Amino acid sequence: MSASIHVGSILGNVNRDSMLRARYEDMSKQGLCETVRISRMETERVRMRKSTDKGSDVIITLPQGSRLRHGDVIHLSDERMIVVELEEEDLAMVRIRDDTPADHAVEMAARIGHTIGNLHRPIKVEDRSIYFPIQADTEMEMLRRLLDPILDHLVVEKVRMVFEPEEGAEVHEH
Amino acid sequence: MSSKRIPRLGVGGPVGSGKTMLIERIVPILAARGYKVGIISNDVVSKEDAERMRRHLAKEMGIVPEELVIGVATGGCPHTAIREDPSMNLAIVEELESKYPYLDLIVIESGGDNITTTFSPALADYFIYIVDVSAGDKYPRKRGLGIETCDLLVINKVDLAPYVGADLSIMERDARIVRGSKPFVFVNCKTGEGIDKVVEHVIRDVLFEAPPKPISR
Repeated sequence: MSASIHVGSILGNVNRDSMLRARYEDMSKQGLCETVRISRMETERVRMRKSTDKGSDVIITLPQGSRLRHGDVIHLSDERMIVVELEEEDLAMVRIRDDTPADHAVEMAARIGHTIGNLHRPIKVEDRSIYFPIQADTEMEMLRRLLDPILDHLVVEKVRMVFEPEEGAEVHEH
Repeated sequence: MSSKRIPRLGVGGPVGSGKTMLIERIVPILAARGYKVGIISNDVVSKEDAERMRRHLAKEMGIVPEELVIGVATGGCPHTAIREDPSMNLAIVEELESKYPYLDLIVIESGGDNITTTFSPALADYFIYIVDVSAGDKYPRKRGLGIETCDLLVINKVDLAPYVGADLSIMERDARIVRGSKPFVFVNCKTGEGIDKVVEHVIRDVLFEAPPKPISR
């Protein structure tokens, strides 16, 4: 039985720090990187026990209020780098079509915001697209119904990807 | 001050699923191993569950001091008090942490709620969701945030399966499909069957197999 790895702080992020990124790529080639997969909810946990993709036992105790992000490095030595990876989720993507006149777009945005707000979901807005998590495929049908009056001006699709919501907006997901 | 932070276990599930009884079962086993536990019990309008645990675990068994079983009447939508705005529960947790730093674990029981109950990660480090066989063997398959995302799914009242036409093998199959590699256990809180497995998960994944803190009251 190999010893557990104790993690007490977040050392950096491979997507935000180019030096760390270079080290990550280098160590990846040598097969020295391991990942810990967590759910979005677990990003706010400060105490948990996880196994890496290679089976290493990782005991995480972070300072209160810490938030883990996709790509965070939580252990680094010459022999090993452990990187946090967020699970992909099913998301609804809503985008206002590019040919929508600007005065219409304001109405669209307000209606979309109102609809998603009523579902109590966190959102991420990126490249003119609005993303929010869904729990089942059937929600896409409901969303299209709710947006029916403006659906001709929208692209509404289900996508699967890592979701890191805008911070600071508390939501009520039920 | 992370050294003062006491590990926190959240227990949620529908009304009547056995949350209180599960706590009444696991706390004596933890106590017998030397772990000292504080309990916060959320209820919608009464403090009946807290009073019952205080009577049972404190007065009758003498394993938890009376002041370490705290009742909270949340009103309204009980999951709001453990997820959207856990400030009331967090204040009690912090009070326990400062007054009773020797505690090894704080158990937070949610009021009985719907299938989307989850705990704020700021409040609980580990989340047990408990359901009841007699609600039907379709339960795990129907999913819901609690069943899908909890760290440990506890399926209670296995003894009732034959009386309600519930097939435990269906529940087992569906729990595997819905939860992937995440664990679930079948228990009977009335007899204690399966409870040791729940305790094993708590000791490994919440307490990290640390020995009980020395007593210094």
